[in-house]
Amino acid sequence: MNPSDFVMGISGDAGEGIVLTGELLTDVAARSNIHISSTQTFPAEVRGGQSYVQIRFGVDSVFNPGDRLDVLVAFNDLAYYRYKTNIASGDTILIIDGDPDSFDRATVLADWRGGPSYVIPMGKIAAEEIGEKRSKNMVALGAVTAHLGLRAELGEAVIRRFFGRKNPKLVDKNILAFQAGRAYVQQHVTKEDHLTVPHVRGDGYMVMSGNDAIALGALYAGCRFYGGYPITPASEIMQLLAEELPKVGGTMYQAEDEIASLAAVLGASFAGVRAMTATSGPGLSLMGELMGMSGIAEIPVVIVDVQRGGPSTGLPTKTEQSDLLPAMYGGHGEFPRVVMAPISIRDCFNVMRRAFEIAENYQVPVIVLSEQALGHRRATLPKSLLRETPQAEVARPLNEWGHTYNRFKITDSGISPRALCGDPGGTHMVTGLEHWDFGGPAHNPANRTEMVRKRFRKLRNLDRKYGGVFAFKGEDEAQHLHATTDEEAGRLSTVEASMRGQIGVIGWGSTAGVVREAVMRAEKRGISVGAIFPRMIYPHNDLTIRPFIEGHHRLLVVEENYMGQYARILLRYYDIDPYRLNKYDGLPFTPEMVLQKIEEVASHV
Amino acid sequence: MSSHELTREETPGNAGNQPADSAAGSVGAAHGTTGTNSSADAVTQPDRRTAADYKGRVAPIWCPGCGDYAVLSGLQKALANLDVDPDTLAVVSGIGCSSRMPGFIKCYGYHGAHGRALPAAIGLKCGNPRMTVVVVGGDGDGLSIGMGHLPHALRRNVDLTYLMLDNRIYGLTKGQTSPTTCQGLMTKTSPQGVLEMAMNPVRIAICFDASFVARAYSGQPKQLQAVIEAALRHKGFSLVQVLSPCVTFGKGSGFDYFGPRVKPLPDDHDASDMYAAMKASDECDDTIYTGIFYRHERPEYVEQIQARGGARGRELDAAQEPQIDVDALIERFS
Repeated sequence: MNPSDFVMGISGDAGEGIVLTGELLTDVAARSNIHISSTQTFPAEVRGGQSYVQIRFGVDSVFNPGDRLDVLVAFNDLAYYRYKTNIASGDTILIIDGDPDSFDRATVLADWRGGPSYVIPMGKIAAEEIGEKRSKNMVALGAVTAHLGLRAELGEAVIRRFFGRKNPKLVDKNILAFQAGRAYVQQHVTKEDHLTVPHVRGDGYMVMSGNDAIALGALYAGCRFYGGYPITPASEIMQLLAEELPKVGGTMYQAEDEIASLAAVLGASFAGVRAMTATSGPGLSLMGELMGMSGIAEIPVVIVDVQRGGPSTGLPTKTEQSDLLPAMYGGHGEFPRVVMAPISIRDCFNVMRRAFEIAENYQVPVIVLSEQALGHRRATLPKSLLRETPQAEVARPLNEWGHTYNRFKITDSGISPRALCGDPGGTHMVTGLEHWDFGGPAHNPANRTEMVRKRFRKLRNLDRKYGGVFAFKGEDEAQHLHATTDEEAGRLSTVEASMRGQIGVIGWGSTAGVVREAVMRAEKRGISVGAIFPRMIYPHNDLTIRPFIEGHHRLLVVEENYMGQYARILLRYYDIDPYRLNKYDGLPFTPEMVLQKIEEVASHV
Repeated sequence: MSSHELTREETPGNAGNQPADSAAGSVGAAHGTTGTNSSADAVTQPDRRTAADYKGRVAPIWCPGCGDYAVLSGLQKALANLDVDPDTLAVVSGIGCSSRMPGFIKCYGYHGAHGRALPAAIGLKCGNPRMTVVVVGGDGDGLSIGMGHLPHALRRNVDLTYLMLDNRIYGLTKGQTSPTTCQGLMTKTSPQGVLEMAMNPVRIAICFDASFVARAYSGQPKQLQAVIEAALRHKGFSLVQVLSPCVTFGKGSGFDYFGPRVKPLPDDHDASDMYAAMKASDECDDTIYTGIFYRHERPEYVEQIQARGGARGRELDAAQEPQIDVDALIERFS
């Protein structure tokens, strides 16, 4: 048990406020300058079944929500029996509800194989002292914060803020419940463990989910139109932008379906504002035809796909990385596009800024592949991220285009000057038909050939400029985003250092957090291992991936899908026979799973 | 002068019902943001635009005699009468013969995917509310593949003018059944006769409480132009069904069919009466009425977004761009 890095699981019936307890607890930690990474699982239905939140607390940055539990908080016996085997050691702390209605206390305590256990009558306190059974979760929050040594006023502040926004009448009762939980621990519980969160100085962190970070990244990128249709697990992006876009003159448009969503985004982008949509797999499928419209009519759009288990309706609330091939090849016909995948919550913010930049500069659709595991995970981020990141300067001069303006002029770069609706003299037609340089429909074979080539020329050298990777080796992390600045070039040398070794792990998206930790643990066990994660998956980033592949004796491709979609892409470029670690049960990898596989591969070297 | 005042100059409900130039005298801006024009000003303007100023870079490729020529001409004349600047005009369409229209008009033209013109037009209007937006499409584009979007466009009441050119057949694909093909008619995809009842777009629009619903006929170009003008002046969503015969594949629904049947709505038609409008909208009898069936005012969608801070569109001056309240965001997530 390490007070500087430990994992807590909180579980109970769906509808008992488990997720809220977890969220407020992470807020308290962030205000105490402690890093967190948290994840939640809940049934597809709002009520019924078990809810579960897992939070990892760290004095230093944490890259993932961890695997085994150092603390288990169980709201009832079902929750206890479900998670009791997932304990880290014989020291694991158990905090259980003492309500005889929900717990057979003696049986549970006799069954428990972990460390100190504490029985707190949370339900009873809520019902008898507060007169509101539903405030049990706030009693639990009070008990847990008191036990961990987190300050009362921080807990009260986050409760006040949460309920103040929701319904101010509920504030006082929930504060009382919180205080009652704390008081019970202080008066009746003798602490038998040494788990006290250390005091760290600072001005606190922000806590946000991957979906929040996507929305804020879009806002900072100058996005002023969002068209979308609600879908799990992407809706939070839409909900946040519904609040924030009007504050900067933008529009959140809830369309009647995903086709209309992307159609509206195309219309808004054609009109002259940066525009995006966000969806999940089923929506991406519906958007296929209009992605092609964006491609052939050269209208910039950003499409976020927060992937979930597929196909069809699949596993709506669970995670998967199975939309890579549809993102790269979905939609009929051939057109240039860019596919990016953020590797962390912070990266969600940064990737969105880059995605809008690419979409606008190259006039292509950019697809950003997030995942449920990223979208619903919460993590601490420094306040400087929002304070110091510049808001994108969107070029929007009203140009005088003159009489011979040709929207699709053939150029060496493939990029043609784009007039926006309202620009004097810029009138033109865009069409999903093949067209002449001025926009009129054309079936001419020579023109067709030239236009297809022009559009695909836009991708030339894109990997050189934007083909960022993240590379990990031991404790080191390197980012190679694009080597156009000295600072980036400096990082490049660190990337190169991680290009050689016995085992090279390749992955994409959210698995970076667990792979990074697995790589660190493996190195401590004497295994020579490095990892690389491309941020731009398509166009393929040969420049950086090739030396990594050539620099390792064994390769391991880690993916949360069955087919090994990224491994298949790699096989097209390289003569390799990689090991594979695939998972498609809807749950993310844990560091331990990846570590085991690395050890297995190492035993073959 | 507001666009509403302009429309009130006409006989309530019946502006376009007489096949005459009754509405041509009232000229004004089609959109309130640029419009301080009055009829008097417009008349004295020496450099008023003419229909020729709206000629696009693509020559129409419709069959000789196609009803759509009259719609193109009527739209161009209406735009000239309203003096709409081509730089602030967007024509949005889907796929079909009539959907080729954007290329024939000097404007910002968007010829998009089949059935998806309405949502694209709404996005466009939100993205740049200064634009006058005209949507053009056929009966298949609007009532079949795009039907999922129509009720939502109607209920939102976005300030768009939707010209649905209805030829009762799939013309571009050479003669298959469309949603408005008459029941019993034999087509390439219904060799034993159409089983389905034909759809009536005017009636559908009234059902969803559209704020402006009209019908016109390519064979009566003056009335057609007057109806389009009234629709352009209307603040809110206007749907104009134009009976526009296909001279190549539209058997049973040609000019010879419509000619004797099409009649202007009676003078005493009350365009504020939803039930009267419903009753008059019938297409199956010997009489097919044209004119403005239903018109009323209700809040426009984009203006409502603007009242809440959004839909500012592209700021012409970067300094005017609203800045993100960084401290508020940090506070929100702390």
